[in-house]
Amino acid sequence: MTSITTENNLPIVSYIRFDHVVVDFTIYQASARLLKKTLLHNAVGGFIRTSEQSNRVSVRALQDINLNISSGDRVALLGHNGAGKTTMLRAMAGVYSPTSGSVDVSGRRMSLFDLGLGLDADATGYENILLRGLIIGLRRADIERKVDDIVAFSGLGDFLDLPIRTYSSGMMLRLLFSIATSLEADILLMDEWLGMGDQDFIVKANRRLHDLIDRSHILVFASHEIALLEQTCNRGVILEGGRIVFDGAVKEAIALYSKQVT
Amino acid sequence: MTERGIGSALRESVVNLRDFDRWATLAWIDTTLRYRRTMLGPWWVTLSTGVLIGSVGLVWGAIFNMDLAAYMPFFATGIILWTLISGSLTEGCNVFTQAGSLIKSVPVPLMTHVYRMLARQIIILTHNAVLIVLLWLIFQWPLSWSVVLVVPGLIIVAIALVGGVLALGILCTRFRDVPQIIAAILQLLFLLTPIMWTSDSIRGKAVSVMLDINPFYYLLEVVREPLLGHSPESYVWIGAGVVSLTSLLIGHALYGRFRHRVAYWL
Repeated sequence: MTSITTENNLPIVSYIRFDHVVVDFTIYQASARLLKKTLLHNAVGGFIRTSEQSNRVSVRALQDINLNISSGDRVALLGHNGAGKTTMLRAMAGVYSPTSGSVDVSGRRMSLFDLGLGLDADATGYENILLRGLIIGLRRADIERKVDDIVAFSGLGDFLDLPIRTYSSGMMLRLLFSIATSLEADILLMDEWLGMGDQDFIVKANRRLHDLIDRSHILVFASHEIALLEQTCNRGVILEGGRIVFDGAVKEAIALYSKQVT
Repeated sequence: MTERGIGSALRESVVNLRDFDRWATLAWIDTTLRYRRTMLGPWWVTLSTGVLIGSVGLVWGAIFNMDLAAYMPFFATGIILWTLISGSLTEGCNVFTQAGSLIKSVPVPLMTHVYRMLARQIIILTHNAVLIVLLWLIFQWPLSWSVVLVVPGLIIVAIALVGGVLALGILCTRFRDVPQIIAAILQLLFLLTPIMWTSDSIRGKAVSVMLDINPFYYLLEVVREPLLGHSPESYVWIGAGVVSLTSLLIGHALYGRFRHRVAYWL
């Protein structure tokens, strides 16, 4: 375990610990009667269960997950659609608290799931920087310190004074990416890679993202892009139907997963 | 790590209340964005309430045969407070469902969304309050020192609203029929609460029980009375206090118990 010193000179260690974590989703609008007959293991998704008494359908998205991630780990999350990757990331982010079991996380977390989060099309680029920062829990002073960096990196210049609905999609991506990656975090949670934009920007963006990852203690990265996972990660976890079926070196995980797919 | 008690909910409430800078700024941005590209901006609120007070005040004043100098301030203060209360509760129903994508992405305390919405309502209230000042300049009804009681009155109302919005926000996220029910109830209560008509007109009759059991009556009176130059009677203070405290406790009990489920219900 690597310990890293913060500004306060307190050595801190980041970790994520899952202890017998179960996450169930109750689907209230689904007709339990219809689904009763289709109670089976599907090719995709978790395990759908119905209960006779309550006429409710619940989906077990994560079943009995035990996982220990510590500083230095760059974890690749592999699995089919609906295997539980996103649910697991959200449980790590603290959004879903487990139905049973416990999730214990130490370190500042940052999730890069939804880049457009909390933005408003009628607001200017600057206002959106402020909006986004406030929404994810920062104070105004913290955000103002980041603005110059975001402005410089996005390369949008005076366009930041215009409402973002006037932006081209490429410009929008530049802004979104610059905002999302402007913050420091101990634990980075990523659902798919963020590199995008025009050719110039992709190179710049990838470099910035790699820097961000290098500075973080922990990365958990869910993706289907094998090459990227192999390049960025050192540990691989394969999920299947909400269970961990493999946890080990990223190379082995990828080899195993590729075999399953074909 | 999953605390479920009402105590931890109240603690979270207070901690987030101190984060004034964050939710107030968000509410302010929301408000300016909502009226962007309009010429009057948020003053549209003032204008439309002003037209409502002017026209309804004239017509109903005539129907009830009331002195405009007495009826206009009464109706204006009543409708402006009602806008605050019903607006908060109506939006309170959607406070979590609207922030769905946020709640599912970042672990920001749900209280932030509640305060953000209530701050928006207070911004609207401030814009409407200008009308009360204008009306006073016209009619100059006698005010006494008791006008300062507006402050504790508004605090009582605000506490009641925090509790009410929390409870409704949680219930409406789980049971999607509740917003419709609340909208219907609020519409009915607008007519059953003395806003357009005065409580004196039914005092002494059997239906006045309707006032005694109407929580909104107390919440209105506790602010309206000081604004009209009276000191609220003790039963109004007690009534409003009980409503406020009950609402606060119910809201936080539900919040403590179910805040971790809200993300799943979205």
